[in-house]
Amino acid sequence: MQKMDCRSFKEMLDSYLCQELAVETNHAMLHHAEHCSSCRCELGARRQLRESLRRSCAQECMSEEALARLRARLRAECLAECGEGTASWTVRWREVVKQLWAPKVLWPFAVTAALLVVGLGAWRWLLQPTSGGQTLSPALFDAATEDHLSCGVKHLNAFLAAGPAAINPESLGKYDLACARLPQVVAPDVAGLHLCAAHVCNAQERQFAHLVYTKDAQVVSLLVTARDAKALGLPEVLPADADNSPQLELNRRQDIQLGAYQTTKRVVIIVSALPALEAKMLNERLALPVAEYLRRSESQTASVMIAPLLWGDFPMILGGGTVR
Amino acid sequence: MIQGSARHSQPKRADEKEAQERLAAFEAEALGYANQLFRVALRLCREPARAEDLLQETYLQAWRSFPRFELGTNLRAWLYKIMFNVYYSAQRRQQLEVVPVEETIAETIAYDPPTPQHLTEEEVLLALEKLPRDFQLPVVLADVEDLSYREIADVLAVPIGTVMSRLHRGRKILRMELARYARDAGYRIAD
Repeated sequence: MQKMDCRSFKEMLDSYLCQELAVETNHAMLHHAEHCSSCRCELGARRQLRESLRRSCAQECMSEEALARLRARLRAECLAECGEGTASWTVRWREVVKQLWAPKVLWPFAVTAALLVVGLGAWRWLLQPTSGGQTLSPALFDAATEDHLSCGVKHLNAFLAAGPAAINPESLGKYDLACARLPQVVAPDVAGLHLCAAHVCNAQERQFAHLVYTKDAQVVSLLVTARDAKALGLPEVLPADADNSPQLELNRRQDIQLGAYQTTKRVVIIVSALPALEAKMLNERLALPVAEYLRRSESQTASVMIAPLLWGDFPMILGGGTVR
Repeated sequence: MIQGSARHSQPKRADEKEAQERLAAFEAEALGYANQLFRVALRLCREPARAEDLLQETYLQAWRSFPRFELGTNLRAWLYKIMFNVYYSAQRRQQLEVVPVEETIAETIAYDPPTPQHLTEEEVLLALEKLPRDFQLPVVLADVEDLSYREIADVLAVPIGTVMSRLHRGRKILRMELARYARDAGYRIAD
């Protein structure tokens, strides 16, 4: 057996407690401790110190809210990944990089794929403004901007004064059943957003379901309204392209950024004064999931309806004031 | 060539249901370590808000690389490694100077006092916080988080010999500090 004195015992004691020593050294340690009371005492003291280190560190915990935010972020990332063709640009970019890093044999494939991605992207980008062959009318964007500016700030103040009581999701359900669950569709803390109001409001003879969020001390509005002839500024409403994911339409009013998606019966608009890059992220993370959700609920509704629907009709509206 | 490409080709983007099942599996495996990671993140960042950001970034990266995680290896050590990678690359981005290792501190300590007993948890925590970070992190990873020396070397990206010497010195400084508290408080030091 290895010879062990008090000095080397104390040197190796911590490694012994971490179970990092070889079997023979372990034996030598135990043997020494059996015969040396002072080292036995030191062994007990260091074990105790280790225990109290653990106990004291165990007090430092993450808050429940922080854990919820972590979960929300993961969920948002997961959703962004799996929505086909709707993945955020970071995800796409990572995939392109991953392809480039593949074994050398794959280089030609990777380059072709990258070209294809660029080509497809350009193609889709060219198609973008003509979702379903029809673009939204400038008047709709004006109405959305006005609603955002007048109503969003007012409700933010109400929220600051009254707290969560100011959020009124029931009114959304009265306006449009499919909108009743909207506050839940969006993960609560997606992209640093905080919900502070949900209500129905009017701007320029148009009704909107209006969710007001704050992000970095800025007001962000998510607006849902009927996709009718007036919204398109056209005499006739053609069905939106139901097979592909909704297409983004961008617009601007001075410093205000607008992004819109059309579903068959609705238009989802996001309005904010955020920088273009962040506004783009909100289009993908906030407005697109909402548009996808509405599109799904529309196709479910459509499948149980016996009578054919008139395009542009908004059958779920119960409150008056529908704009045709 | 065709065979090769078929073998290396990435699976098509999974549909929503499958992705959510994967997320649930990932959460079940990995989120249980959030508190432990958070404790170490706190020591790295010093502020809870920044530690939380670091943790979010870490879990996002882990989620993206989870398909490449080898089952049977230590998930916790893997998560720590990702966290330190994220932290150090963020530091490089901000071009913050890495604080030089205070090698000299413990070098001069020849005397190793007996470990005091009956210390309060506050005292132990206070002494730990006083450790220079290069010593504090190995001590926390080894004595609190139970990582092996090899895993710590991997996580901190330093040779295992460095880990062992930092641990040795770190623990010694900790004991010295605690012995001082015990002496000040008039506790009996076990001899």
